[in-house]
Amino acid sequence: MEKPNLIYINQLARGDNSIKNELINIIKTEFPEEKKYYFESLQQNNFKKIAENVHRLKHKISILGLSNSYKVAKEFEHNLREHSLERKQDFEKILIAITHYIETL
Amino acid sequence: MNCIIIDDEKMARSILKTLCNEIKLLTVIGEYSNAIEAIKFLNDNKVDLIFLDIHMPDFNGFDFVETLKYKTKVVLITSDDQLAIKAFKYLNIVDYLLKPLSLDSLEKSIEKIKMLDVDSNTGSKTLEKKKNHESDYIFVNINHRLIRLTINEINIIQSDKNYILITTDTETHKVNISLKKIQQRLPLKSFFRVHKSYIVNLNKIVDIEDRTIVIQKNVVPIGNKYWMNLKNRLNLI
Repeated sequence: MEKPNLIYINQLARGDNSIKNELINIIKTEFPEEKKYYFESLQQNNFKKIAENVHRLKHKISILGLSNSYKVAKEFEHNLREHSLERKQDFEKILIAITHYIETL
Repeated sequence: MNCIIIDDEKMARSILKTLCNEIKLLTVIGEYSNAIEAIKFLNDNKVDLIFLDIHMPDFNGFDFVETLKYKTKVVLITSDDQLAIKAFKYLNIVDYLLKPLSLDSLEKSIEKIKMLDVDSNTGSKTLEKKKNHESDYIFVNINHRLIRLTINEINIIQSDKNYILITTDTETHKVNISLKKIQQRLPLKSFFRVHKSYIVNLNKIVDIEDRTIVIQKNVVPIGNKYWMNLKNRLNLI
């Protein structure tokens, strides 16, 4: 499985550590919140909300350079809009990988 | 150019702000996590440009555009590549950028807005007028930007592994889509498959010789299997 990375964030920061740290801090705050909302919406079986939360998490996945995982998230979001949970497990593996990675930042 | 950013994701707002800071022409005068706050601001303040996320809880980007009192220019910023056609039905939506954003895509967008300003100031035929004829265009995804191509300006489409090369009068675009799919989006009247790897705009053919087609300076082979169909299709005397 591909690994999260900071290539995109480094490109944006262009050597400015304050920008880099700001963006990392936002990920560290926003990602766990979005993940929490995702699981909450899953418990409520609210497909519209689940899709919205996946949509938001999808952006974080792309920011962390996970291009294949982004495709998985996109497919999952599409499936959710059709009221299907197909690719849920694959999507949640991505969340686990990001969670572990964020702990190292 | 004064602008505001509306996106429920803090990360998205920060990225966009960082990129805007790199462009001298742009000054970010506000950022909002929801449309309601932004509307309150816009009721008392005029801005030149709004960067707007489409998918926001409660109030989506299109709802927001419809509530705008002044037709301020809007650039949509989204991870959703399925809404471009809908977006360009709104006259004031001038561009559509896909996340994750890059400085390059933002710079090109601003260039495009500057060009639109010049067009409208000189009274020339504006892009806004053309937007009413959406069938005159197709949108293609090139490096996370949805680029609008005028169908009449397309000369040749060539397959290139998983990509296609779209050649117009002035440039060639590499797009990640199959030849079959792009053909479905083009008018049958003008575009014809002449080879397993080529589609041509029949209106642009200069001449046909030895089973090859000449369009501008390009030579396109005609496949055996396609030759009879092409002959039937052309106005042969």
